[in-house]
Amino acid sequence: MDGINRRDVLRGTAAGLAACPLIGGAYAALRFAAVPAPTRRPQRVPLCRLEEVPAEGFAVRSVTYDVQRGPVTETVGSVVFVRREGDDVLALSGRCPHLGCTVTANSDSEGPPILCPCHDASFDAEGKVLSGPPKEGLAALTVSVPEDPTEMIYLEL
Amino acid sequence: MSTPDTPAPDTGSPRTAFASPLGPAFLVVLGLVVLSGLGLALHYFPATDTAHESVRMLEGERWGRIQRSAHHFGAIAVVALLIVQCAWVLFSKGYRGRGRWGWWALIGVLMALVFADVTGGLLPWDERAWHATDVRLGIAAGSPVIGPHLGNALRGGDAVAAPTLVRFYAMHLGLVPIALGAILYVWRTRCRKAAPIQPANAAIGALLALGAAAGLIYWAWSHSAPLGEIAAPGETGFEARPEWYMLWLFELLRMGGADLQDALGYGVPGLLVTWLLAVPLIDRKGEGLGRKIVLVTAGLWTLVLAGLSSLPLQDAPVNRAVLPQPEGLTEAEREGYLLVRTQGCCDCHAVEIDGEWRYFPDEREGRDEDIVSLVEAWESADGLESFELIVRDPFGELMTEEMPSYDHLTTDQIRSMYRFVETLDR
Repeated sequence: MDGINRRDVLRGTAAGLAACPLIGGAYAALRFAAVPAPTRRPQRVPLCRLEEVPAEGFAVRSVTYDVQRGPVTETVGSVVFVRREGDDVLALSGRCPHLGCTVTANSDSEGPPILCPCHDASFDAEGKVLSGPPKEGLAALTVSVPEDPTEMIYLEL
Repeated sequence: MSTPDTPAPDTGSPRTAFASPLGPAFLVVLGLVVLSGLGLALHYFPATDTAHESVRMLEGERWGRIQRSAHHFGAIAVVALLIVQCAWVLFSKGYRGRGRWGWWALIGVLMALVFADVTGGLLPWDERAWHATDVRLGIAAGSPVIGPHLGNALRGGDAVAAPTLVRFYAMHLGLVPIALGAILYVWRTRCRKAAPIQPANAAIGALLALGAAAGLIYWAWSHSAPLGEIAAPGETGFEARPEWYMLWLFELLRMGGADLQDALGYGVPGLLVTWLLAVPLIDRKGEGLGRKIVLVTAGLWTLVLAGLSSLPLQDAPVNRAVLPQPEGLTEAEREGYLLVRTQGCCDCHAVEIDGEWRYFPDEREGRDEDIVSLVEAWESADGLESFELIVRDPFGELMTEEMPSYDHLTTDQIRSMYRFVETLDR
């Protein structure tokens, strides 16, 4: 190799030096972007009274809870499907595990009980996938179930 | 005069990328989109409680409305013109030789425009914007290896909310112009030694560019860009479909099922981009095997993408109507309005709109027409405290078994609902 002269060496060095702060800056920006901003304090979100959960099918509730993001407290909305399971209660997240669309209760009692309108997924009463693209079923949420049917069921977030 | 860089007849030049008769039209429409975007940025407030309202105010003024329409329809036209441009370069072999720089610039601009559509799509903060972004971020978060980090970084949390809006606003106004500028700048530097465009072609190009600009301005003047009601996270039943040029991916994700969705949903787009970038490397000269491979694969891609895109058109959803937001609500009243929507009050209680009694969503059958309207329900409750008692425990207060209790709402939430229904009585 006879092509490397002083000018090439100087150019290369200058380019390398210029690249350092750029790479550093890009790394810092990416790290900062990737830091998950929100923090959620443990909270109990009232869902519905125990007596309101039907013997068959679901009580569907749209609930809100607070998320702290830096200086801002923000209210996030989500849908929860509540169902009786013997003496216990099953609460399913209304967020489709495929891409996050909000699922709906099927008005046709013959068909699968829960449908996702986005990519035609369907779920059974326990939230397991019956058909469609999701790899896992609807997430079961932690709830505290009261003794007294007139008392509230709480979501434990 | 011929220099070593003057293209031989069989190879392209970097200029070829935007040298089709529609090339100048593309650049001019892109310029109009950027300019109208700058105008919009002056009046836009990227926060969840102000974004939709600021866009709605723009829609109420003639020049604001025209600017928004130009930005919206111009963005659609720019993608269409770019796809035509790619097809033209592909068939005229313009990607060969030094023309590869022009081809790669086209692909880069296409990527930047898709990114611009994704980030800009959230900014109106209407129903469609929210749901479409929720799905798009779901796709990004599900991609192999980097997915979870990517989803988190773009969303700024675990749900599409205020941080997502700010991030998308920053990316739309910051990254998109930088990316477009950088790609077009590199492309220009590669054009320096290339032969100039034929004057006759340049004249046709200029005429078409003028026509495209006039057409866009006329269209923007006579048509409004769509704007739905404000996004209400926690409301069910909205079905979002992607842009026309992404319907094929939607169909792939839908038909893939659990086993094939990764291979189809991420493999096919990855293969498409790889193929697009590799075209100048597959076919370098002559009419030999390389050219045949490019033509056959281009034909196959066109068939597959067009076929897949046509399927969703057959079951295009008609989205349910939502309660329209009255003008001039205060912040508390708007919170109440969103609660009335997410809690489904108008599923049973009618609302009078333009002299007509309406329910929302309006497709439900077997609704009991005897149930009082929203305003009557509000009137019959004797003030705020009694309203709260009824909403919390309808059976205890009214002996009605029809209405579920809304005891999970906070007092502030019920108060803002009360304030909102009060505005309907005005």
